[in-house]
Amino acid sequence: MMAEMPQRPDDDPSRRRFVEACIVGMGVASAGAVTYPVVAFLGRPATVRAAQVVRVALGDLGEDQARYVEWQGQQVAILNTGGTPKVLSASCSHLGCLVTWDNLMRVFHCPCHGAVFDDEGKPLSGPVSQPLTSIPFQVVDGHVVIG
Amino acid sequence: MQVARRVTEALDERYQLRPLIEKNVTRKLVPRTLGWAACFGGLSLLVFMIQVFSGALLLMYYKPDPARAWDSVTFIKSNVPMGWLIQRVHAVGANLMIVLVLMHMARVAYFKIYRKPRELHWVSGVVLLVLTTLLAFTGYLLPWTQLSYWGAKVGTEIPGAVPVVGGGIVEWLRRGNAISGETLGFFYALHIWILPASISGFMALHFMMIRRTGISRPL
Repeated sequence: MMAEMPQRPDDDPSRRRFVEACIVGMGVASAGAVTYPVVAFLGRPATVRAAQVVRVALGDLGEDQARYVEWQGQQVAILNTGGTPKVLSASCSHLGCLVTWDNLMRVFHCPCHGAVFDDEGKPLSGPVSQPLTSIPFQVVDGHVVIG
Repeated sequence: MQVARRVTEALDERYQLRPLIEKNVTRKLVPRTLGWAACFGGLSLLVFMIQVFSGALLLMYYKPDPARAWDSVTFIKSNVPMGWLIQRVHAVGANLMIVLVLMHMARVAYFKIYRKPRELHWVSGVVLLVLTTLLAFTGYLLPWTQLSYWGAKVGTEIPGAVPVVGGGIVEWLRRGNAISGETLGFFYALHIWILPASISGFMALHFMMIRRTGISRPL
């Protein structure tokens, strides 16, 4: 009767060690998943691509057309009206919606609250008093260079 | 491992921590039929602690000023490493905490756990629910977006329905006639210190009462 009892699988030490290792592994993975973002957050914030430079060839800018590019995390519009390029922030000075260029009327329209800006960025109508921010740029070798 | 064991033994020898942990955590006896639904209270506390911690991190960059609040939140979301995650955790955690608190409340109501001797558990729980809601409401204004502005405007209008004193309460909540920088400062103070401190006090009360009466035994 008291002959060898079949060994229950959960008494098997290697199996037990495996389950323990899994539990510890999950614990370590969870701790890491929490610790990594917190430590990263406590690090210094990135100076947003502050050195980013955008170059657009003057030949790519059609007369009275606007070209939108992303520069240092914001949308900017490059205009070529009257032969002189201008670079303006495409964020409406009211609440920051993206303004769209109307090449027939030669104005920017804001889709959110109907603000209208001329090709210099000056407000013409709508709930705005501030112009579109103008972005400093240089013309080098037939390219508009921003930043 | 050897070092850890010796430190544990040294602490145990002096403060008898092991029996304390065994009694309250590892060998704590709870009614056998207690199910998963009994976890919602504890989970609410866990989410609250996550909120305190993520909120403390967000405080490092947040500026409670109408001119800079929105920019500072945008800065956290786009420039601070993992800032988007911490901000999301804090915003989702707020919703989750309300859901968990309500599920906890639903269970306590369904199983009639609020009956004698636990009437005051329920009363303190209702206070905790109100404080949780107020924390969510005051936190909602802080990013100073269109949604938060109008949310705060509509929310602070509610006490206006109270006869006689309603108008006064609305003005008091808004620190003036309209939602302004004054409102933002007031909600900020409530959100980061006054409400968390109050809710911690009521939580302590809530937990101490549960310790005295024990967990309700299901039928």
